[in-house]
Amino acid sequence: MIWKLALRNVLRNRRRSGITVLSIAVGLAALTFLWGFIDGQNRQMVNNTTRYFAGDAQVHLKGYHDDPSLDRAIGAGDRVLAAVRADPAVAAATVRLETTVLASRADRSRGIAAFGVDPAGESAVSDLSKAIVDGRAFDGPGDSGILIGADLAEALALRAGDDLVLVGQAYDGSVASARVPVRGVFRTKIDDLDGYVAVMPMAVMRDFLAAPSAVTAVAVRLRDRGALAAATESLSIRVGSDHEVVGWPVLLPMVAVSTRFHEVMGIVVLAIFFVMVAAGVANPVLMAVLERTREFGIMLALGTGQSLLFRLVVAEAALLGGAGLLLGNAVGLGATAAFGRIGIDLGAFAAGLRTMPGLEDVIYPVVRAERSLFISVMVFVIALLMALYPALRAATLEPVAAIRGIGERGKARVRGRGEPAPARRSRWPVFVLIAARNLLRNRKRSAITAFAAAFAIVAYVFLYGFFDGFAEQIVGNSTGYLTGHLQIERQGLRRDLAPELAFEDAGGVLKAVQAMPGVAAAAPRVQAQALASSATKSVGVMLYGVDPDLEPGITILHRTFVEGTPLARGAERDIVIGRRLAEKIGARLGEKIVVMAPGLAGELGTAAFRVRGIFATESSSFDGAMVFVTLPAAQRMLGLGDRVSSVNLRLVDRSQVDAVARQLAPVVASRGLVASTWPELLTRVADMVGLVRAIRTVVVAVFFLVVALAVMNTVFMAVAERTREFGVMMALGTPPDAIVRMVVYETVALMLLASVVGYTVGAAIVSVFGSVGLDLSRFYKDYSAIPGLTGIVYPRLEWASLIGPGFGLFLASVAVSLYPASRAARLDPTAAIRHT
Amino acid sequence: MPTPSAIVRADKATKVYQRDSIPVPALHETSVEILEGDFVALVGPSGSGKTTLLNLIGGLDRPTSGRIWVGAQEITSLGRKALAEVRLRHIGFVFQEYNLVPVLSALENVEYVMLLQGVDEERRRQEALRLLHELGLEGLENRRPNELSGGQQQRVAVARAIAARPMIVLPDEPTANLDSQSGSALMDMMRRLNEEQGTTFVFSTHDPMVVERARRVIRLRDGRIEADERKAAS
Repeated sequence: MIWKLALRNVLRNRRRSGITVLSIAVGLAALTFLWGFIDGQNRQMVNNTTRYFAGDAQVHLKGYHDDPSLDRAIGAGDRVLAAVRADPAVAAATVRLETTVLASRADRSRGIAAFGVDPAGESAVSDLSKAIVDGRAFDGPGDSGILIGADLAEALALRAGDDLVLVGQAYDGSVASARVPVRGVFRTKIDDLDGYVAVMPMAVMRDFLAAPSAVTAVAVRLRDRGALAAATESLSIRVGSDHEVVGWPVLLPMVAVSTRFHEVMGIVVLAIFFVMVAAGVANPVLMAVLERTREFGIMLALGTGQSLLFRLVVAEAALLGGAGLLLGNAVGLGATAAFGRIGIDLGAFAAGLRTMPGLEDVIYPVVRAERSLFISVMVFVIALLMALYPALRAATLEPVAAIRGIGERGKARVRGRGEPAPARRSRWPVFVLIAARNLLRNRKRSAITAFAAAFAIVAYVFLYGFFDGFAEQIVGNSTGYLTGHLQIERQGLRRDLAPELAFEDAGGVLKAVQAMPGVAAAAPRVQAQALASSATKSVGVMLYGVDPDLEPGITILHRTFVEGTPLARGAERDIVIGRRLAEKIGARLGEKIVVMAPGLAGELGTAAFRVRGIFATESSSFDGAMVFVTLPAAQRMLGLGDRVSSVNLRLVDRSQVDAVARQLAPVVASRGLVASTWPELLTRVADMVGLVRAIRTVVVAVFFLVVALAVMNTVFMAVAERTREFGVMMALGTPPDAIVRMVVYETVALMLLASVVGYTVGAAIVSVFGSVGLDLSRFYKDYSAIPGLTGIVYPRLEWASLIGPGFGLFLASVAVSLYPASRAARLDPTAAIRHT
Repeated sequence: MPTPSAIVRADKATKVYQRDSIPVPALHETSVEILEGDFVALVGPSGSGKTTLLNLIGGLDRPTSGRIWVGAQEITSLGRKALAEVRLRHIGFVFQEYNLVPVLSALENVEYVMLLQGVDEERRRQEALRLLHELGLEGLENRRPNELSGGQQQRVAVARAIAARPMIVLPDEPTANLDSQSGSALMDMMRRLNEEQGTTFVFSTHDPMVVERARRVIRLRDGRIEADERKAAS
């Protein structure tokens, strides 16, 4: 009986029920799709990164993961391999021997990780051999040659069949070198693999390192990656306590961090949607109770129990929630499944996607039953919770007052009963006055709607503030720590940093550009790929030769020193390095580092430097991979004479970069140079910013859609409950357009209120976090793929980026009110006056 | 054409409502003329067509067939906007359930129609205050409808109806929700307005007290005029 009554009540006001169901469904479908998208990209990242090379887990000698060195090679590789293979959770396992080398061809070089592998075993664990795009993979243990990534091949201008020179440290600490033919080139679309990994047969590697039986890792593919924890535990027992078993989240911290970050972002958006769905349900259910006060009074008078009324209202909410669930799940799961098949092509943000290892251009959302169940249960519970207050209100009505149509809202608040007050004059136009008073008349409804809209605005301002702060941070840091805003260079320098692309007359270029309007500072640099080695370890780095006097005008690195001091003029034997690099190679202040880099005319430049200072930018891509020496030292080491690789510029206003670049173009072109802007220098940063802005826009668009639906529902309810009033006003001669105006004024007032609250609270939150910072270091630790990203994000208010969407929300909300408003204006006055 | 003294005229006006696609006749080829200064009671049992006739001559509804004139203007074929203008300029309504605009004070309710007519602020304020005082509502100007008694609300509704100086005022069962004392006072007041200011009233009613005070009584039954009696001047 209750359900029958509830269903009829829901169907009684089909339009309102329809809009309520729609707003639940839109939120639910958006959540389902968003989570499907996040799961899809996370699955792709983990699949690709583990499948292409890392494996699901690796076994090392204890301590190797934190401090990889040949000194920590596994002594009895065969025994460990056999033990690992014997584990039932293991599908396949293979041995590897890893070291860091400088890979060179002619005058181009790059520091890379080189792996010796067993071709047969490797193909059972990883799929690198399936990603060959040039040449061929290994066929058997007797093969020779080396497989390299496509980006490395491009940087060194190599193709299959060309020779690659490797220089590194042998097992005994001596310099190891070899010339190896490139057998194949692979492309995985994972930057770390394509740009910095080379693979050769185990025998060749052991020969190169003079380590006849060394193994540094046993890579493992599990039967079920989801059972990683159990497998890790079981393997640890098998291999013994002097070995470590490391799962993929530790092997691939960036992947783990990225997936966790995506999930956290998803949960934040989820929470925001839940609040909006709650507001979307609360309002119509409350209204449905208020408008039926008389009816409930009659039911109570006829002996209906309070609990029955309570259950009736809750049942109505359950029906609305249930219908929303059905529709939302149908649309959400349908869209997720459809895009799961055809994929979502984000190729336009290719460079940005590369910042997330393993992500391809096309993302395939994933339908996961447990996610849908969770969202559905949450939305349904929220719908029921939102019905509790109205249900309680209905159940506790006083029958007599209710039958007379006076709920609490109808109680007269008598003012001025004493002395007659002089007639008050309102200065407001009458329809604005009516609109304002109508909003105050049903304060709860107005408050719920304004709250929902204000909440969405707060979320929107915060989201924009967060992403603007995020973008500003990575752009500001990347340009501030590294490139400056513009770089004058020879065409092609950034592809391979070849020494022969250095140019002369840096002084002339400096003089010419310093006089340009908009240029704040300029400084010359030498840039080269190099291998930095301490007594025990070598790491591929970017070497910068800088002018200690001019460089502080371009970058702010000098402010980040945590030990020692920045470079000074004349300190030609000194080097400054990042804290992370210092940890990696075990170098301390005052200790010696040997730097090797390809010089002019194919000569290998080598020099020893004393660590003068250690900087910490908090961005691991800088702290772990950049070293700085003085300009003369770099020029001498690479045999450049007084030539430089680039002249870098800082502008007075970064946003003017394109205009300044255009002005500079003719000046530098006469010297055979080009002026590259920071988005060209930092394509990954620029694309990342574009990608996060695109995601932000999609999320905010769905917020706005839900808000617009909530506003439309509210206006419909406001119109419906005042049908008789509109009829009377029309009978009195109020023209239809005045009715429309009045309804629209109400929406405008509501949205103005929501905007004032939303923007004020949103701006306050952004300002607070903008000054104290939002500590996300848990998620970003070890995340080096996005240059300039640090653990603490400082959200920032950029009103310019808020105005457009904010104005759009305002207009959209007002526009959706036109429909109920025009329906009000088309009411038949005689029927409207009879309306109860 | 209407006679010179007729301010409203219905000519064979028929109204058939559609309820769930079933035709429900409400008024059948009814012809009537309301003369300037009339004080008319439309009487008859429920469903006889009283309110329908009021709605038709007030331009609130359109006849299914037949024609209606308000003054010299035939309103049958007017659009929504033009009909609204006719109601604004020439008709005053008083409803059984008062139907004041709940968010406006008594004073603002009376001012409302004048505001729509474009009367300047000072004049409409003075006129509204004058009417409220005249109808015994002094001191209640700033009260909202839910702060007034039924009788007070109905007097505000009358003040609102006559404030715009319409050709004709159409109260629909004006005393139905009032006690006998308030009802009687309201009728006295309307009669006084009729006699002193010449305001034309046509009201529907079941109330014998109202019928007694009317100077012309039109009796309806089943959508037809059964009788149209003009009483001798009292």
